[in-house]
Amino acid sequence: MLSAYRCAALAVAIVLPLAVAGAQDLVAECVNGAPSVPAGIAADANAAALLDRLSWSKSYADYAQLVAVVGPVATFDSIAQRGKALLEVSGDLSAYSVPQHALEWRLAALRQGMAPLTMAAINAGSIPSYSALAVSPTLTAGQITFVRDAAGVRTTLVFDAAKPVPAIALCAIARTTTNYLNFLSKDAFQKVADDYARAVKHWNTYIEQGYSMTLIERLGNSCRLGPFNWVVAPTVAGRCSEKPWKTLGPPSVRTIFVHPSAGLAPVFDSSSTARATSVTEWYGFVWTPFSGDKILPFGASVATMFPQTGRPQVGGMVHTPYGKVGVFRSGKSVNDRRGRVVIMADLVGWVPGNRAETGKQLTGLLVKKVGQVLAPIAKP
Amino acid sequence: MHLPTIVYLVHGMGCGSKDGSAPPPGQDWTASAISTFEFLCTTFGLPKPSVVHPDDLQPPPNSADPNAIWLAPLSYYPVFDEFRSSSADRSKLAKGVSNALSDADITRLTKTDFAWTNCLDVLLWWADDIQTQNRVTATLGKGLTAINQLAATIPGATTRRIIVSHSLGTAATTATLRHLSTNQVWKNSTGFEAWFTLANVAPFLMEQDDVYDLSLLPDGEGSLIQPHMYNGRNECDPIPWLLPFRAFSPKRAGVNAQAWKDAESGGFYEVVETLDVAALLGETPTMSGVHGYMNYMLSPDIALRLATHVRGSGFTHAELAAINYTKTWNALPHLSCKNDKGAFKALRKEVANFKSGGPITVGGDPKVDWIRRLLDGTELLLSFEARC
Repeated sequence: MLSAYRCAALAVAIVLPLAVAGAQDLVAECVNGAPSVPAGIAADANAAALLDRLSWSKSYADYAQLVAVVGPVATFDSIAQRGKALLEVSGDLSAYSVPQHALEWRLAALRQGMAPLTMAAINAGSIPSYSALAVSPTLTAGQITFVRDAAGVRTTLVFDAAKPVPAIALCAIARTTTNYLNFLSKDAFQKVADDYARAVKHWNTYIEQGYSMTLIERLGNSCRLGPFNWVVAPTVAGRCSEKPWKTLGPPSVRTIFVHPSAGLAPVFDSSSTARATSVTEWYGFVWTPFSGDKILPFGASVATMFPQTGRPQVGGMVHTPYGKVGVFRSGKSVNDRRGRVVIMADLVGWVPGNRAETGKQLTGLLVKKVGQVLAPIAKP
Repeated sequence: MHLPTIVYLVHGMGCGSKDGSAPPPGQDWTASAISTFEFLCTTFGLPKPSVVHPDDLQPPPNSADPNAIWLAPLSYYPVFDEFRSSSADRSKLAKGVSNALSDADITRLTKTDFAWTNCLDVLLWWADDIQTQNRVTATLGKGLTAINQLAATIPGATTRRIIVSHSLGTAATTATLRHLSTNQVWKNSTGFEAWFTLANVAPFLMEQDDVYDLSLLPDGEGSLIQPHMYNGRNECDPIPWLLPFRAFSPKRAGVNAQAWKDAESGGFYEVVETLDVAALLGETPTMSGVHGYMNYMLSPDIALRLATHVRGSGFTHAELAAINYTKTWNALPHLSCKNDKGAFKALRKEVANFKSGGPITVGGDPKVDWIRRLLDGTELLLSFEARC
């Protein structure tokens, strides 16, 4: 049994004469949006002028002005009227009834769908679908796939090399209409482009300047831990069943889970300016909002400090856009009250994708900087 | 008058380096891609393309040409290179990617540079949904839309869009187009005139309902593909057959199978089988070229379809006779195995076995099986490369 597609293709093949060599330039011109009435072709004297008046490449400034003056729907009507005027001087259209009816039906449907739309809605991308108006080349010279008909079946437009004007006209109407609708939707297209650009920029910032991840955190944030994702990375776990085409950009909040770091506790005692410590953050949250393209992380976690001497002390870490600081319980050993505040560096970057090397470099720089600042004021 | 036709090139696996270091300027994958595309343009009598990038703020100088062609290579491999550059300990890195990997898989993945630079990309894209996959989608989405917007700044422009994606790039593009289709303005538009998927691996890395979603149906209402999709695969390339029972086919499109079959019978979805391995003059084709991006683009049946869409019209018999691409293709350097003349024939047989081998039913966990089959496939090509 023949499919609907094949029936349509056969119908066109029977009704329309096959294209002959020489028609291909007309096809390319049409598909590329630069139609012209070729020299040496018998055509109405007005055809070329009417084609220029219709085609987007020649009259886009006129259309843009019309939109501003009479509105988008009236401009749409203007395209239809210009197309109609061109068709009237194009010659015998009887061989083109299938593609012509498909085009007229689609234009009428679009007109109906656009009529109630406000300019704001149009700017937001609410124009009804016009994918049916797409035209494209085929491997067969002298013909293109043309507008889908009311049943959704793509028609074929064959360029008769001897009498090409009707095909040129039909093609130009479809092309001008799609170009016009693209033009009307330009703000909505721009918004989508801006969204992607922002997502890329935010990801880069998040990875360069966000808090590093340990192996377990990275696995959790990549949804590789099954149900345990809800413990290690509950703020991301909700996205695990989501496809990448739902939400773009980095997470707005992440979990800290058993995250070791290094730090310095300024003590200013007789032997040193600062005491090296290690800290393990057990659990916490870091929000990573963006202000423009700048990330402003803030959050808190429960942590334990492990000083070089003395017992581990329980406390908490505060994450700010300028770094993180820990405050811990006072111990019972010498200098215990001086080692309670710890300046931390983002040391960990065990799992790649989070700029492990960057983290290590920053740590080194921080340690060096703190030493430089504190050395001159240290007690002898 | 300005009328750009935009050809987006999306690379596949293996474009990064073994240690994640950036390639020297002019030596990354785009160099050969641009050369190959320029070769096709010259051969088919098309204007020389202008290379554009997503961060370009001005249209290229030749945009005034009514037949201007913009070539837009889109790179996302730095996401994977970041991973590779973070440690020289491959095993440690690989263990972190997925708990689906056995120790044996990790050994196979890490022991050769080829597997490390190729298979790891695929694994990482698949395993790291939230970060790696998301970043790749954002990167490709930015590339597609930013260059389209650049074209839209040209008054009176008619913009036509063509995508040529390869290997892992087919899955990455599938995900990106699915995301793009969530934007009503794109879904309602005329989308992409042609989408070439060369060595399509999307069905192995993604769920069936995503791969065959109606938003990607060639010529479908509300689809981004308006109207042509070409699925190219080399007869000796095992990669599009990682799991034969999931290999890309309209009959495997689930609830959308009939719509995909209609698209195929209507000529809007087409499988393009390619043969042999060739390379541009001055280059030496290798056995792994059966999966090579450039080899796919150069193959006659792909080249003709690509040139047709880029030009905007089919070629007449007289033109095809004058171009004589078969002769051009035959004049290119072709694979020649000096050490084992029968190697390519043997590979053909092995790949035939590969296509009918592996897991034969949906039983088990195909998400895991494809990893081993990917390693099998790449090792198969490497073993024949050694014989050659």
